Amino acid sequence: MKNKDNNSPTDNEDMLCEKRRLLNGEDNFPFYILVILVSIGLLCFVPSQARIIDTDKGWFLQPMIAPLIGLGIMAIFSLVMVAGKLKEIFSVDLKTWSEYLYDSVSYNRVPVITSVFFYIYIHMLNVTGFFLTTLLFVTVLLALSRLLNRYWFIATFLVTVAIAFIFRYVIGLWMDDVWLYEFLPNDWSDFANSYL
Amino acid sequence: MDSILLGLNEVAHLNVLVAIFLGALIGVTIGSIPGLEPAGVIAILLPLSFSMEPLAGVMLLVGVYGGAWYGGAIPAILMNTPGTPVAVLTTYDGYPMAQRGEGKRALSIAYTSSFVGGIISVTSLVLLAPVLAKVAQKFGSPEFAMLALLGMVFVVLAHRKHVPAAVIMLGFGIFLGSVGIDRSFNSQVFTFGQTWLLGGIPLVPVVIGLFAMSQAFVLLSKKGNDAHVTKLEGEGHFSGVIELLRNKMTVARSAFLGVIMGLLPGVGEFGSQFFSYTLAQKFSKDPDSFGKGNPAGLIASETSNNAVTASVMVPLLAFGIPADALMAMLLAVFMVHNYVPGPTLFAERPEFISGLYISLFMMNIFCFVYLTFATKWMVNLTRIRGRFIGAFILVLGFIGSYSQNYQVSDALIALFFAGVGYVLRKNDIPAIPIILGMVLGPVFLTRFKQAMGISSGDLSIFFTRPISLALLSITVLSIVVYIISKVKEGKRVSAA
Repeated sequence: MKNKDNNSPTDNEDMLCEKRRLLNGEDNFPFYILVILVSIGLLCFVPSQARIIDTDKGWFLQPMIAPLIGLGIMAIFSLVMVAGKLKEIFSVDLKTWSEYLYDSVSYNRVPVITSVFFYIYIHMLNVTGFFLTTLLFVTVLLALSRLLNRYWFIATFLVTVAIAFIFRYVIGLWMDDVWLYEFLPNDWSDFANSYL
Repeated sequence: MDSILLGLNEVAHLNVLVAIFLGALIGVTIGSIPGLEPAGVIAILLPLSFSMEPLAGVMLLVGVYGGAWYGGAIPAILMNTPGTPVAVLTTYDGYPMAQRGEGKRALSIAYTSSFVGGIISVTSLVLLAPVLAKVAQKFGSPEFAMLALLGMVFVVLAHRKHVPAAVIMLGFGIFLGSVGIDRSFNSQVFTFGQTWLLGGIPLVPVVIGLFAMSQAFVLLSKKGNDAHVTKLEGEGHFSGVIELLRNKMTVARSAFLGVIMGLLPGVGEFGSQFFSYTLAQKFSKDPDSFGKGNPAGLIASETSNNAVTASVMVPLLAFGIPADALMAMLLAVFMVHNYVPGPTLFAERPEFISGLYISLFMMNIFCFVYLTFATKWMVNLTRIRGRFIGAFILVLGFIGSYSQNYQVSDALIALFFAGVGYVLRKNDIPAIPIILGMVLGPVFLTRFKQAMGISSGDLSIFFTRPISLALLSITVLSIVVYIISKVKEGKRVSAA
């Protein structure tokens, strides 16, 4: 009779494959585990973030009801989704989990990198202005997705001009004054802050 | 007659007319580009619609919604790729027709079917909404609470293959809707001391993140040449009318199903399309030809799609209850302009209601005429690379989320929900229940609290009022029917 300590290398590989299948399968177990952790974590905050109000007007007015319903539904139904496999999921070791996370981030690197660039983009807007930042942002994304050539750069430039014209000039989208435009003469700076 | 004149007066403004045609044009364009969904574009346009007159704002969004269903037929028929998710069944018979060299004929059938479906849908809205609004006058807080509950349950049950996941997402939406200041006691709920959360989590950035920016991530992740080159072949630009006359019963049945399904929250185009297609096949003399280029299949699919577009507005206009994510966005437009959907809207703003009806008719006519003559140019849109579109969706997503309150935090919220939306897309989990939870959750809880206040905390108020009891019974019955069908399905699978 085999025990855990004297498993053959093949058995160990099979078990590892099984665990990986469990995480990568169509049942989305990692997603539901995440929902369970988030919802239970947030439920722990209910006493401090949705305090009980001392009132005789009725229990139904308590501010905690809505978050309790929402988070309760999330936690209960996520538990239901993983209920049959809970034991196996908990048997997955930290290494397999970290490998799974690494693979997931690696496989979905485009959205991750794009999110980082988007974050930089929105913080660059009051440094280099809407037009220039947008042109740079889109150009970088096209370069990263290997689409950048002269044709698509010209298209990017024209669409950016159109967007700046429609939103900054026609609709009047307001934005903070831009650091870069401070170096321009006053008239130019006012124009650039209004429309670029 | 007076109300028609009032409506015409409301429509006869340049900004309203521009909104109708621009919305329809954007919708048709979006629909004809595979991979670009109307929900994302509607989300981006939502803040823009807030700054417009109410009718213009509503028609801009509805135009995109209705137009996209028309345009979705182009790639579905010519490339076997649905332009919009609801054009899946259009590919079944449309693409084989195009392969036989009948592309123009198939498109003509699709446009004419869509037009007839759309017109019947608007007519049903004109006839049903005022009647149901009168019924809504009998509604009090218990009834509205039960209606909101029914809406949430229907939306969840509509995701038949993903019901537990849809419930979880609904719960997430209810939680998100609860963040901010609780009005009963002015106490903070899940704000973590952050001032930017005091006003609650704004709907617009959530919608933009979930539907538009997550889609941009998907488009940017595509590799290789994702552009398509298509050719428009064959004759019969106007043969759709003749074909529809030959299939009168299919048209009538599909339109009827579309209208009915539009009235049910969450069911919408998908349910109506599958029912219509199945019935058309069942009643056909040649059922084996379905999926191989039978015009009746194409008619069933396209008529039922577009028959939903206006009838889906009935629950929103009559009761103030949005039936899907777009209607939740429309509700936001109504609220920004202090137009409260429901019976009072019909009494206080008849010119708006009439204007809306007329605008919807105009939108359908415009889409039909435009596509009949412009398809040869529209097919070139399929050459645009998805990654290029994706990059600009992100820029427009920023503008859309930032422009409502001019706060960078809103753009960051959109970015967060873009990540959430992307994960949901990758795991095939529906995002729509989140929006419905955010909108209907607070409606349900507010009305529930009011009803309980009236009854001094006695829950029997929901059982002793006939309409409330009826709505509650339908809710419970729907859940029971779903559970029974699941149990039967499980038994069938285990027996096999």
